[in-house]
Amino acid sequence: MGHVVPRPDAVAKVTGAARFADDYDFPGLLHGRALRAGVPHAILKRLDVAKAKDLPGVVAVLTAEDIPGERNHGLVIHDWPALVGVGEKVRYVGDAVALVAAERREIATQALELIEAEYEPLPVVSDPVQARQPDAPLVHESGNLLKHIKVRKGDIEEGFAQAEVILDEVYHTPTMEHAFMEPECSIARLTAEGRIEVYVGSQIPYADRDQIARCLALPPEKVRVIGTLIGGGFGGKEDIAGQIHAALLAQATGRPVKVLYDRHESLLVHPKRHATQIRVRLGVKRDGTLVAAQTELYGDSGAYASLGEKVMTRATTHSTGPYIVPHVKADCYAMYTNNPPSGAFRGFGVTQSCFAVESAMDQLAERLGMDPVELRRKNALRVGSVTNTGQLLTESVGLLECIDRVEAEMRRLSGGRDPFKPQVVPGAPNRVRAWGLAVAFKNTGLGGGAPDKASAEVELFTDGTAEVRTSSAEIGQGLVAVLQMIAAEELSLPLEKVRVLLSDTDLTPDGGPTTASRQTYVTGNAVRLASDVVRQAVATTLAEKYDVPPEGVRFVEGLAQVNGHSVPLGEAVAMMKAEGREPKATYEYWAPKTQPLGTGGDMHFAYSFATQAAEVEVDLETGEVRVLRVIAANDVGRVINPLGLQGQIEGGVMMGLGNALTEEFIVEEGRVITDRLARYRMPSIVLTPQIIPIVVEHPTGEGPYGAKGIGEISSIPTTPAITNAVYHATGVRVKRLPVDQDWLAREIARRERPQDV
Amino acid sequence: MALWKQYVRPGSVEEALALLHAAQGPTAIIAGGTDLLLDMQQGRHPPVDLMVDVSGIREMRQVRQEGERIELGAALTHHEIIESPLFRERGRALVEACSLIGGPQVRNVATIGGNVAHALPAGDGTIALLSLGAEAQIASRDGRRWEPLEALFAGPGQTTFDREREILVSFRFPASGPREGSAFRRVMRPQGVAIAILNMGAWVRCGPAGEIADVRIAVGPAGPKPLRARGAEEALRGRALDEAALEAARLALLAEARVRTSRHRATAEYRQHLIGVLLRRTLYTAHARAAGEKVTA
Amino acid sequence: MLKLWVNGEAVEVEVAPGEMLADVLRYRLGLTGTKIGCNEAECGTCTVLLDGEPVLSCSLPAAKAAGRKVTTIEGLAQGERLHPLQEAFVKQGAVQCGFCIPGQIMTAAALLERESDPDEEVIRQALKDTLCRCAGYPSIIRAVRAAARSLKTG
Ligand SMILES: Cc1cc2nc3c(=O)[nH]c(=O)nc-3n(C[C@H](O)[C@H](O)[C@H](O)COP(=O)(O)OP(=O)(O)OC[C@H]3O[C@@H](n4cnc5c(N)ncnc54)[C@H](O)[C@@H]3O)c2cc1C
Ligand code: FES
Ligand code: FES
Repeated sequence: MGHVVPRPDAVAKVTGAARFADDYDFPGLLHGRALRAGVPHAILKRLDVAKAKDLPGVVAVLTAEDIPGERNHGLVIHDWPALVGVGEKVRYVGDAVALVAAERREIATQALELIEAEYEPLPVVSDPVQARQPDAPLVHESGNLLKHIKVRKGDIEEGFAQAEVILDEVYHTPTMEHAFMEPECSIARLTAEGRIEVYVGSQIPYADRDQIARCLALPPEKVRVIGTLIGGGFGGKEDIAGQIHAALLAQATGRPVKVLYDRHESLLVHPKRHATQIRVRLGVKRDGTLVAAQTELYGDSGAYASLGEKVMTRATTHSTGPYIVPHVKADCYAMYTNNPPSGAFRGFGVTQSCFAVESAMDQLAERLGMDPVELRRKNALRVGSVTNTGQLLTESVGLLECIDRVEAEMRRLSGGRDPFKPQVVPGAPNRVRAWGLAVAFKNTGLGGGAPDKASAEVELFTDGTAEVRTSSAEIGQGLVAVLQMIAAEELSLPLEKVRVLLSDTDLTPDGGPTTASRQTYVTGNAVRLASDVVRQAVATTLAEKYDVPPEGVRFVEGLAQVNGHSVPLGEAVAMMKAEGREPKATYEYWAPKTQPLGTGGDMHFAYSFATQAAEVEVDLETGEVRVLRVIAANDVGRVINPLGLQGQIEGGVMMGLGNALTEEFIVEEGRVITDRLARYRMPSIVLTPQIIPIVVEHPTGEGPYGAKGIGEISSIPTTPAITNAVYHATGVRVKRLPVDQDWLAREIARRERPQDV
Repeated sequence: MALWKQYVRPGSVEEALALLHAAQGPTAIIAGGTDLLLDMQQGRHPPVDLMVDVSGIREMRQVRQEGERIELGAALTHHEIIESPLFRERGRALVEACSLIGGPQVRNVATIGGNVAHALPAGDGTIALLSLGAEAQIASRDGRRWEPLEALFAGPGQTTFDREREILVSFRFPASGPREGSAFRRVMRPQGVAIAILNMGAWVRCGPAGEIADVRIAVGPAGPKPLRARGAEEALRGRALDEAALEAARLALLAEARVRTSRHRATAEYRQHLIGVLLRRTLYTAHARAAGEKVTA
Repeated sequence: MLKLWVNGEAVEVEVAPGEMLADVLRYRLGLTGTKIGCNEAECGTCTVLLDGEPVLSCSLPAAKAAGRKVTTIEGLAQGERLHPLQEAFVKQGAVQCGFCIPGQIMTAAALLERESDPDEEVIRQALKDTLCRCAGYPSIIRAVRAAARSLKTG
């Protein structure tokens, strides 16, 4: 535990042997493609597929009427049609209206061009604020409000009455794209037994299975989802992409069908990060004590629900920051629009609200004439605090330590100068540098009363090896390594004796969704406890044989020691088998129960905390911003896999940097402008700052060895740390992401140049 | 539909011309293909029957120095240009421009000829060549001709020569000598496409007292075609490089440049502002080089 | 029929008009180690070496490879022995989801062929258009430096 160990899956990934979905081939494989509506809001009036059907090489063309089961899918609400039928509504440009399977991909593409579709355009709902206007066109018959989310604590009027200084600001964050490097790919085929197998890199294999089965009108057992490697997910591979389409085409043709998105389709279709408008109103005493916080959020959930409600709930509950505030009122409107759907994306809504509240805290510090670090430290959550949802924090709150250590490092690196004052770069009078700081928290696990459980199976073999099985997904975060380490630790086996099998709905028990930074905690615990059951079974067998109490059996490095004998584990397994005992166990782990929002109970079983400081350099003439250094402290409970943690921190910081400086998924009147990778720029290696990680370990009692999530927290405070630094360098406050250098240069030109102090 | 039906790799300019002329259907010349193929894949250029790959033609891959003039083949890649000590010493703006294009993978196949023939108002290689006073050699069935680089452009993406029948063979420009220097600068945006918000190339010859004896400035995008900023040049010629001269040049350049707002990329106001910023940076660097100082960045 | 050398072996393969090198490698020769992240010359995942220089195979007409030497990620290891870059990427934790890794390693391999001891800035410039969304860029830089050291000491 806590040792640097290379990932077991890494070698195959560096030799090219690792197989992602598009790397699979089957005899007779057909290529499937979907015709996308290309209009944001319309009624499909007419659809003629005759010409496409006649094209040589086309094997099947399917439309909505050909769907045997339920038309709609969805992770929470089934509102997303697999195909839009004639007379039905198109709700965003990426809606599919027809499917083609052909012998070659070019033929399928050509066939799509031969399909005639006519639409009657409807007025477009293009942003969430517009969506809430009383006269707004309706995206769904049920109305445009997906959910009004409320957080209430204390008495907000009373809070603001006590306040001596009040800050009121509005911030905007854009839609963002996961841009995982591997575009979505699904392959479906029928088996000899008449079942359907779908190969796909999915974050939630069991949810895929159920959604496929419903649309195909099959019992779930008839569908097997086999998870392939995933070339990045970040939340963007939780919803259905081509899984249902591939299965429908395979069912219709009797042949294997691959549905591979090209980048353009990937950009148009899959759910994004919610664009938001966030108003933050903070009330404080002169000494910096927060007394009231009111927020109002609008979230653009796009055309379909996906995980929109849950994402915006997280945005709302985290919208007043990791601070002690006696009086809180937060309202969020998650709205349907005719934009591409929004769903899960690393940070799950908290990325957006953290930018808003952490910008506001910096502004507030300036108003109070207070050091921005001091203001945060004064109000920071700690053990014994009550969150704005009414949860009493009883353990594992490492925020203060994160703040202290980042501040110390930042001050050390600034060499005694005020890190928040602009420094002119020697020899380059047009360039200034300054630091900015931000803090964050993020729940681990689903929370809010959702049953959060994972199953894992552990089996021992006579060759002394073990296999761990669970349907959880490896999306690059290093889960395989973590589960391998946990099982090895519990079974006292060398690492290389433990194999990990993931993501197969036939062979692996349900690990639940790979989301919410929950895998190490929830699935990790399932593996830990399943391993424990198996180990005890071995101990019992040996105890009987050597006539000692089971506690007398010790496990060391692949051996069981009992009564002075050393029995190799494999031999012990053979004994078990000879006695008809199964050397395997499945454990269904239930994470501690949580309470729904509004009940005042524990909404989450754990939170991770972080503080980051970023140093930026701004070219005052061109408005160009570079991030030079980032200090990142994360309270992750307990480090299990340092290499995995390193990757999560580096990747998280870079994603936060992209969020601050480079990324904006542009949709205008429902039409996607950034529909090529060339137009959606994610940070490249040249933008990489020096990243200085600081690990803070405040263990959480239930977590495996004390661990809680890291996957998301590492990227959340980066963005406001950078924009706060931009402010300190230039005096220009960024309230709309990403930082637009064009705007920044013009704003700077309008001000006096800051002087070196 | 496939982007092309037939792909040929002729060994000489004459062979290539013959193939282009013999073809019945639509044709395209391809060099590195880094512009052309994307245009085709994304529907901005129709598929063709015949693709004529000129990247292997020996004559188009040579560098020659004749007296004080450098001639370079149009099929030289950006990578080859950056690696050449000759260009580094005597055509610095070109090296600086080519080294900013793409990453190594793109620079290994993308050519200077393709950059010019693509005819964008702000092609980096194009702007650099323009500031170096380059001419271009065009081969057609009727023979070869040299034209000033400026004369090749008809509008955004449009050339005055026939890209289906005529081949851009080479460029030549006066090698920078003693007391001469050049530089290229650009400002990009971290979001969106890899096209400069504004780029600029400058070449300067220093007089005996350090004054600007002669100067060439090119800038893009500052109109439908790559712009040679003759007004700004005139404002500088014969003057010391001081604030007054710079300001005069800036005003002249603002008057001749037609900068626009491109949605999601840059406002006209920002571009106007950058004209002053880049003019100062590019000119100072070129001038310092002309004066014999080593300036790297 | 296209004739070329792939990972040291002479190969003859049928190619349809319009095919790019990446298609030939992946779907005709089964060398699926080369990944396609964008098919629009933006991401660098499809990088292979053509006569030792990195190129984007997704946007390189297969015909351009005629008679030339192509090296893919599958051709980097010497039998069972990993190339120092492969080893360093594993050890330094530069491998996360892994999708971009073949492109990173091939681009870096070409760099190390021409520069035995690249500094950080040189590495950044070499990998500037080879994107990694898991973004373990600092680890990638460390891995390239470690591989350079190990290539030098042998
Ligand atoms: C990732 C990426 C980044 C890029 N970054 C930049 C950048 O920063 N700056 C920049 O300026 N460009 C950039 N480009 C664009 C491009 O790489 C360059 O413009 C390149 O120089 C084009 O050369 P090519 O040989 O690939 O041209 P091709 O694509 O082969 O040809 C371009 C056009 O020129 C014609 N043509 C080519 N050669 C000849 C010839 N000899 N005679 C007649 N016609 C000819 C073709 O028919 C076609 O119309 C980038 C491209 C990519 C993919
Ligand atoms: S797949 Fe070739 S550059 Fe992205
Ligand atoms: S390792 Fe996932 S994209 Fe690079």
